[in-house]
Amino acid sequence: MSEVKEFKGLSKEEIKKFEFLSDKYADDTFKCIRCSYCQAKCPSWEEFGWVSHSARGRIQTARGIVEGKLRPSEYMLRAVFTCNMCDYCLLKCPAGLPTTDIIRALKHDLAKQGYYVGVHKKLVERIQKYGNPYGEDPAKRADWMKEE
Amino acid sequence: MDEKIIEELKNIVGEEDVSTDPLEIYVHSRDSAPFQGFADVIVRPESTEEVSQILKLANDYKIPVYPRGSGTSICGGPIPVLGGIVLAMYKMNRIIEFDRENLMVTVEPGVICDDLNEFLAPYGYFFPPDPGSSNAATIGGMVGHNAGGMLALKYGTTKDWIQWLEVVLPGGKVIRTGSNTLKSVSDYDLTKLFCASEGTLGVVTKIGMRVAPKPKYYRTVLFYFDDLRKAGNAIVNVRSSGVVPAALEIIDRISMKTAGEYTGMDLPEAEAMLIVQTDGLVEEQVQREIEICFEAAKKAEPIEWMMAETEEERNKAWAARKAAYPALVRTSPATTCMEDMSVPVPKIPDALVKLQKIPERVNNLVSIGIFGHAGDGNLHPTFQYDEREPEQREAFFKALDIMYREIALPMGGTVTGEHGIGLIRAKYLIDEYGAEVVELMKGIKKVFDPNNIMNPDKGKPWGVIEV
Ligand SMILES: Cc1cc2nc3c(=O)[nH]c(=O)nc-3n(C[C@H](O)[C@H](O)[C@H](O)COP(=O)(O)OP(=O)(O)OC[C@H]3O[C@@H](n4cnc5c(N)ncnc54)[C@H](O)[C@@H]3O)c2cc1C
Ligand code: SF4
Ligand code: SF4
Repeated sequence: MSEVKEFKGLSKEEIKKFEFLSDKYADDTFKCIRCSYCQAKCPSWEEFGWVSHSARGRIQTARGIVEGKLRPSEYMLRAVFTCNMCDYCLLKCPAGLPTTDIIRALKHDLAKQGYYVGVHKKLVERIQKYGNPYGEDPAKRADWMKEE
Repeated sequence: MDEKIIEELKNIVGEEDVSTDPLEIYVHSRDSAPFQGFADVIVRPESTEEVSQILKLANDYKIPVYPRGSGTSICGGPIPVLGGIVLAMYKMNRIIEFDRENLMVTVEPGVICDDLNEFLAPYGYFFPPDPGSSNAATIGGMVGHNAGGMLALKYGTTKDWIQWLEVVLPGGKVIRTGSNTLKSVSDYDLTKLFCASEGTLGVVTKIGMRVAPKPKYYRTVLFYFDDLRKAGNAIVNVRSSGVVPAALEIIDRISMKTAGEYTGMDLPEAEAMLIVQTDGLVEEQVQREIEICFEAAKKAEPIEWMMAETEEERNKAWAARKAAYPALVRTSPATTCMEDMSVPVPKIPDALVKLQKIPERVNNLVSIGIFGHAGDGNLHPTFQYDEREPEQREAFFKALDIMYREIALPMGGTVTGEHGIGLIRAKYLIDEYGAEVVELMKGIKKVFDPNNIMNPDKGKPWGVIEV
């Protein structure tokens, strides 16, 4: 039979870097009573069917980061960034948690430390290179106008 | 866990239905109670056949298995405390058949209670057990804990509606208990044995249950009392009036205050609030019944009351009761834990007085608000504290000892009316039943699960581990 396991996450110093999450929402993540009211119709839960990809899962992910039991991973990025910020969980939460704000903070802190998904990487590169997310040459910006 | 076993699990259910990712393991490490345990792998079976193969594998290698519905249990029921396999029933969520002539519905365990009722509503039927968590709780989880709710006084709890179960036993054997007939005494009533067995005997894979005609009319009356004993008398009077109300709920002063602040409702200063509701298919009868309940409760001298005439008034009458728990969650410093004890109905006032004093006995390191199903004696003392503070966590567990050992049990009550044993109440079972009965239960467990792989060391008071 397996042993009782412990989970090692981020160190105290590393957690501090999740500043938005730990400064504003740490207590909220502990207030989540894990009732799943936010889960049943969360669109990404309906699509993927894994708790990590549901509203309850994302609030727990935030708690896992601040309590030092989780560390960022590719899988976590996918789980967090497949939230479409529809606010269904916000309406359903009996604890009155600012669910989408917590998820936004989680996304923000992850991205700020360089953890973002492929498509975001592309957008950032384009903005840095062209000043817009479309990767279009700014000099051609007015080309759509016809000459009179 | 051995990679070979993970591979075998993938062969059974397919790669996409097996996860060993630390994040997935973490989000399956808790239910709604303040405990945590980490599995090695989460598996999402889709059929009885897959569950059977998994239980054969687990039994061969003696790997713990934890069935899981939505993880809303408030006792640590589905927490994988010894590692092993979490059997997440998410994909087994089909409503298989509705037999309108025999008034029975067959479902898989992952169906959510509200979804079932949404399906039944157009036909004019409903599945009456109504946990507050009905928008999340699965039928499998409701069988696991024999869930009840506000309507239990009139309609009973989950087990009263289950006719038969398909269950996979450790080793993979598939059995069917019970029958489609309304009456049958040909077995030891294995169906009811599985209800509240908390996943410790086998995995429920199909459920056959009765449904009831959905009431068309409701009447509600609300009372405020300046004395808990008067409220207690009102409960006794209503219960002996000859009418069985659909709901008879109580909220104590502290919960009323918190709920009032949270909803912005202007509630009177009172020691307790009672709500009585009648329901049925014939309007005159429902009306007459509420009048009888009203007269009965009034004899106990309420300070105020409100007979809800319209739907709007009815919603208003229920607002404070429905807000009681969310309000406590919102005002908690961090952790909120809804507890569950039942006492014989006439003991409710005594129990409330004693429960309200618990925080003083633990240096006010926890707070408490109380509400519950007064009609059947089932109270939900709800504790607020911060589990990150070791002192407060310790005080919470001490408060539970006081509540169960010094209040519920000496009053002839039980340590759980509907939430289950899980981790949180396992240690009180010997207090409630004595060692001999517990030994008998242990024997039953051994018959079904000789290798102790099903939700091991949990649900019942042997080998309880502290987490
Ligand atoms: C806000 C809130 C309000 C609640 N209100 C009520 C209430 O009013 N009344 C009430 O009774 N409860 C209530 N509960 C407790 C809880 O919701 C119920 O016990 C519910 O039935 C659990 O369902 P679940 O799908 O979440 O099951 P889980 O929590 O996932 O599991 C519960 C138990 O059943 C077992 N289990 C699950 N599926 C199976 C299966 N297929 N085969 C065998 N065993 C299985 C698990 O191993 C576990 O031991 C409430 C909980 C919350 C958070
Ligand atoms: S906001 Fe995100 S987490 Fe919340 S319900 Fe919508 S998709 Fe799910
Ligand atoms: S509804 Fe709120 S309290 Fe319940 S699980 Fe979701 S975030 Fe947590």
